[in-house]
Amino acid sequence: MTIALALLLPLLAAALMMWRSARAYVLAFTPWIPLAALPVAVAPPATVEIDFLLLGMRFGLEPWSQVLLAGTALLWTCAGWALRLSGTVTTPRLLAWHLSLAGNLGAILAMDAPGFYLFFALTSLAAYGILVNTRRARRAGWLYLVVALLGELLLLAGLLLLTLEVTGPITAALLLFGLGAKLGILPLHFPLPPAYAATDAAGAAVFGGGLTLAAVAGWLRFLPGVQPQPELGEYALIAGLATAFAAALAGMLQRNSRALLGYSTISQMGILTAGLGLTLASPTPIAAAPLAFFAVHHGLNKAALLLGTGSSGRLVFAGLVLLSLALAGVPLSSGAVAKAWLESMAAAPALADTAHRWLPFTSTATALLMAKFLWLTRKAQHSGLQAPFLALALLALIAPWAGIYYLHPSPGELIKFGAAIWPLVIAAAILAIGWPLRNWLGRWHLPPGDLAVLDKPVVQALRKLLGFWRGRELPRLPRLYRLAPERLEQQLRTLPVTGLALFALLLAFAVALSL
Amino acid sequence: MSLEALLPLAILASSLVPGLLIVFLDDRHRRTRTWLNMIGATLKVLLVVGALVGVYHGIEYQAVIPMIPDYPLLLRLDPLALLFVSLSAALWLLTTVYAIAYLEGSPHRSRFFGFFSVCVSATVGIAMAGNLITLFFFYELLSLSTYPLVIHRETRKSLHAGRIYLAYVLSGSAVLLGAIVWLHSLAGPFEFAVSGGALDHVDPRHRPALLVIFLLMVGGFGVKAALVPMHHWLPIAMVAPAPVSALLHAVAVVKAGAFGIARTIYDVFGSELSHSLGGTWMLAIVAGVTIIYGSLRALQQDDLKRRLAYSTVSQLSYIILGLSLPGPLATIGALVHLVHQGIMKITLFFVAGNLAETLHLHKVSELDGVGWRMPWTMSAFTVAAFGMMSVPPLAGFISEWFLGLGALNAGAPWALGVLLVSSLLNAAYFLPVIYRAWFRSRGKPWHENLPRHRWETHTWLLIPPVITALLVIVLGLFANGLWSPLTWVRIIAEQEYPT
Repeated sequence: MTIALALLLPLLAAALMMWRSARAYVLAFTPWIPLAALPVAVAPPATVEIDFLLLGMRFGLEPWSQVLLAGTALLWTCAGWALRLSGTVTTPRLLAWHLSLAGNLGAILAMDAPGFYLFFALTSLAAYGILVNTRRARRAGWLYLVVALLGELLLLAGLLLLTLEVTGPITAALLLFGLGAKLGILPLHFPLPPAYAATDAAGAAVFGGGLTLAAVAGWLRFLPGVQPQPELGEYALIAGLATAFAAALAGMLQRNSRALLGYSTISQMGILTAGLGLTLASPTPIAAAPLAFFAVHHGLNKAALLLGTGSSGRLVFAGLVLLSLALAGVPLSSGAVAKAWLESMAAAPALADTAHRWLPFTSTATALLMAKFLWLTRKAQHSGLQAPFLALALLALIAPWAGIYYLHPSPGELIKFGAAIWPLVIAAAILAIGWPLRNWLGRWHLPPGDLAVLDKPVVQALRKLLGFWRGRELPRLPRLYRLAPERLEQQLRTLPVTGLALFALLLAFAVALSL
Repeated sequence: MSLEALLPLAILASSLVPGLLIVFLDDRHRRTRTWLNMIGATLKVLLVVGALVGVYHGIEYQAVIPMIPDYPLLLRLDPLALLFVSLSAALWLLTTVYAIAYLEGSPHRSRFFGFFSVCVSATVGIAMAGNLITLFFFYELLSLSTYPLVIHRETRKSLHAGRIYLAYVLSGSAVLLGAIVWLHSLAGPFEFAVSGGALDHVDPRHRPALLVIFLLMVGGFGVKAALVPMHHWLPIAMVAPAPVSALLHAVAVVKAGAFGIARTIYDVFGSELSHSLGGTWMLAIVAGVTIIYGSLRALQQDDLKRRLAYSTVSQLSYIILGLSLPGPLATIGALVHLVHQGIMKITLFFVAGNLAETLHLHKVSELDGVGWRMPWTMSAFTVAAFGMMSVPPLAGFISEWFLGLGALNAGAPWALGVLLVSSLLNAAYFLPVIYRAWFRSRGKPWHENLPRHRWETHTWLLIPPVITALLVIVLGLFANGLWSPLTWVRIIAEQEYPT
């Protein structure tokens, strides 16, 4: 019942958009609608089956998905608040907002493959409407859509294989990349930074928070269905770590603070991918809780940071500093706990070594990246109101603790002061050394979305390819129709002849029948 | 004559009789013609609903009319027949409503509606045919009675299109007739098998001949199903008025070809023999090529109706691909797509007709901002186009899901690859239309063709696409419901592949 309410409310809001007079009310209630999912998230986990829907839908939650759902609801609430305050909400955008919200909540709640695919596609396609609110955003929207569609297809193939109980490495890889398209998994990462940069703070918060949580929900829901994949796990660990560092470096070469946060998402999701690799490789079932916790910590934090790029002021800057520290994993922050938990999952000795050696340095990379972010935002002047940001920042700093106490049997073990501090000390040292060089370093620049600069040449090449072929049909079958005498046809065309001919045919047929 | 024999005949007559009466009506008798049309169409839907209930409860409806000795005209309502009959009957009703509004005031309306009804009779005849001779008889009737509809406007272009159309379908029919005669000379008289094939008694040494016959039959039907390279007639025939393109070239004619292939594979040869002969793999490859080729060609068209026509070429082969892969999942996917594609495509053609009729818009590049001028029409288009891209929860997704499962289950992952690439191409040629309609704006005033109306266009032009678009949603969202095509198709697949 509560599940139905949580999913139907945003859909109802979307449907109400048909009436012009209802639109103002829908906008007014936009922040409160996601809150309907909170009772579901805190209620005892249960499953509901609705047989007649689609191919038989199943909704439900486990402890890890409860936390994901709660995080998603909170973040959409604050983002919705910011959207309402932004004052320039077009009808299509508000419609897309509620559809995407419904998809986002549904993707976490759905337990069957077609159902998940439905909600994931809904959130993913509707997000296009959130993104493209100005002319400027068209290119980013186009890039986003191409990769989103590609991801959907990989995901569909993976889910089909899973339905047929083919649980080999191909299935795992399809799911990994299909959903990873939303998480900036390389090489499908390039739409994220332009997308963040092109949209407003509220829209970016949804992209950085909500969509990543939906994709992580899919990973954690369906990857346990495949067999342990030592090779793929090792690949994911190494590729994830490499992504974490490379994206941080690329982010430092950005001049737009939101594009930088796009790279930060790619980098953080690289860490998550590394964690996923650890558990994919281990023979025990995938440990969902630490990954879900990391995702929620990051989702709330990143959404708050992105909202913060829309307003300014001392209080806002202080909030951004605290959030940045938490993301970098300063001791006693949610980031530190999340990373410690990820690291503790390393079971296979070979991988454990790699993980223990490199994971701490990701904190160094994050710290440097966030320093650049704060540098970029230090003098920002934005007219946006502060309240939604401050609320979400507060939630992002506090709420994860509720999650950790709910998910982990003894959270105290995860608080390791010493292990968390030294990567940051290194970062501070690098900053101190690099400070005199800051002007020279500032000259280096990478266009947002790196690979995305190839879009025009690629499109032109494709156009040329199709254009070369344009208008050329396969040769026709022999032109027999030339033989049809024109005059006979002229006569056939007149009604009486055709009608009578048909009538005669039927009459002859009737006679034949009676014989 | 018993009630069980009367029902198939009544279903046939409910469109044939009004059709023949209308042909002889004067064009001015608008009211009489409309009543005849509407009564016939409504009656057919009611009869079909009755038949659905009856067949669901196991009643066998069959009418035998002696024709040639041993080869009677046999009309039978089995689940597969009903699938096609109900699709045709439902869409005929909607298209009739649409056509009455669409053709208001244009010449030759009696000819149009008369032949339109005859076409639908031929289509249900094909569906209910219980043996090859009956199937062929109605198949020919369909070819001939669609010709006057293609050339309805009698322009040079439409006459040319009509010639090409006839040349294609008649040569296809000739091949088909040859194959049918050859098959009967080998196998003697037989009816379509209820389960398994009808050719089990044929001597195994005839297997090479059977393979050739199989290919000839599939090739003959393949002309109407617009398999590459026999697809040229379809985009050219798009000069016909929108209702004709909608019902005939999106549903009846092309579906007749696909349905013929389904009968050939399942009820003449039987899936076991079809697959062991090896012909189905060739068919699958041709279907795969057609899917990609059609989509690529659609991508190059600026004319909306031509884009839709090539999209039909591509989507039709989804059905053929599913039919040619072994296993119940592929069968479910193919047959459910037979219905789903029909409903999605008819919506798109209704919309194309509305755009042309209301605002004189024919090209994709002219559609900037039309979504805000005609919101209901373009919403219907958007839903149907997303369905074509197999976005859940729309009908097209259900088809793709089962076709994909079927492809993997049959050990043909390449077929899944074809389907996924085609979905991407579908997105590439449908999304620009949707994008233009909703996200761009028009700088100049609209070219209004119709007098301003309470709605965005003539009410009766608007209602059919809205209903079919709702069906696209409902058939997908409630696919697992008791009265969905999917449930019905599962019954058919169970007959074909008893567990």
